[in-house]
Amino acid sequence: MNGIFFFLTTVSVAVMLFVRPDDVLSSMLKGGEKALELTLTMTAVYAVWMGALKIAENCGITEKLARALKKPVKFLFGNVSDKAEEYIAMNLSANLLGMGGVATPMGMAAAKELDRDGNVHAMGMLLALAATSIQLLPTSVISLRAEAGSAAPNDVILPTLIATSLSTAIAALSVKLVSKRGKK
Amino acid sequence: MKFSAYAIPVLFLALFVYARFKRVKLYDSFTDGVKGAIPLAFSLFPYLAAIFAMTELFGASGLSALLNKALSPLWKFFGVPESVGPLILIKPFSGSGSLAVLSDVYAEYGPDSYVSRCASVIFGSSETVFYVSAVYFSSCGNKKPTSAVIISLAASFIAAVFACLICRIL
Repeated sequence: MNGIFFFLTTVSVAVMLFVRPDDVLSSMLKGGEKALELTLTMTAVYAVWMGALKIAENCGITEKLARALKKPVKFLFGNVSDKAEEYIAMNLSANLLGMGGVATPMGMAAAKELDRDGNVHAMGMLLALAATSIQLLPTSVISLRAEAGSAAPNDVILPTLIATSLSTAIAALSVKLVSKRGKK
Repeated sequence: MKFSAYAIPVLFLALFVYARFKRVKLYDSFTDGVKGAIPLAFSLFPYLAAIFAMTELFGASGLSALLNKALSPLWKFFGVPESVGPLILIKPFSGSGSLAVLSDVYAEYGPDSYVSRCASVIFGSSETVFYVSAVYFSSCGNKKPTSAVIISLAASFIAAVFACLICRIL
């Protein structure tokens, strides 16, 4: 990110030096303003969803989902230690519900556990599932659209679900194929 | 009738009733969850400010238009609207960056346009691949799953192209 930031800002400012030097500061200030505006919007968005997610968490929905995920985990990850399996299931269930704050530490714990066993296949699978987004409900997107005055903010739920299932399926399948070929 | 309009209300209703049934204190839980909202949103601010300052400069200098023009044959080939291209490029690197681009697309095209819907689906169906792999495996000493990173990037790209396709139908 440091490289990208240096390159884009430096080249942009250098170009503007010749075309419109007066606009450099005002452009950056405009950026700060937009950032503040989006931060406030996101505060409202997070307030609603994090409140709702805490209720779900206190109902034990995360654990219940994690228990239901045990079988799929076994199928996708193959032989992993009980501890790793539990972390993976918790990570997936939190990711499905869109609880990034819970998912990340669980994912790190799972990765550490798998790393100790030298199970690169399972590590790859963990990454493939987490990095292609398996969130069931695109909460931020729906809320941002609603805030922007959309007439039907929810109409992206179904397409998003289809697209994210596709990317996750492709990634999981590819990881399985690659590791199978590696074993031969 | 748009059944999706009912998704959120039904979800909240089910959650609240279930929580009541489970004897979970609704008000206390909700407020407890909201506590994390301000720190989380404001922890984004420095990154959003940097990204927005960068993209504003990039736009004002005319370079962004130049880059878009250069990349437009590529996006055209895949059937992706040009204005969604930057989102596909930045998403694997930065969550706040893609959030910034998404809100810019909404502001420019209106949230219900085809372009905005494509951007919404792409944003909602992908993750910050590099960030996730860096954080998840930060404490791992052994071999890192490099092939899985490449696979995830490719799968996300295919899904993004596909997303623009389904947004035409759905």
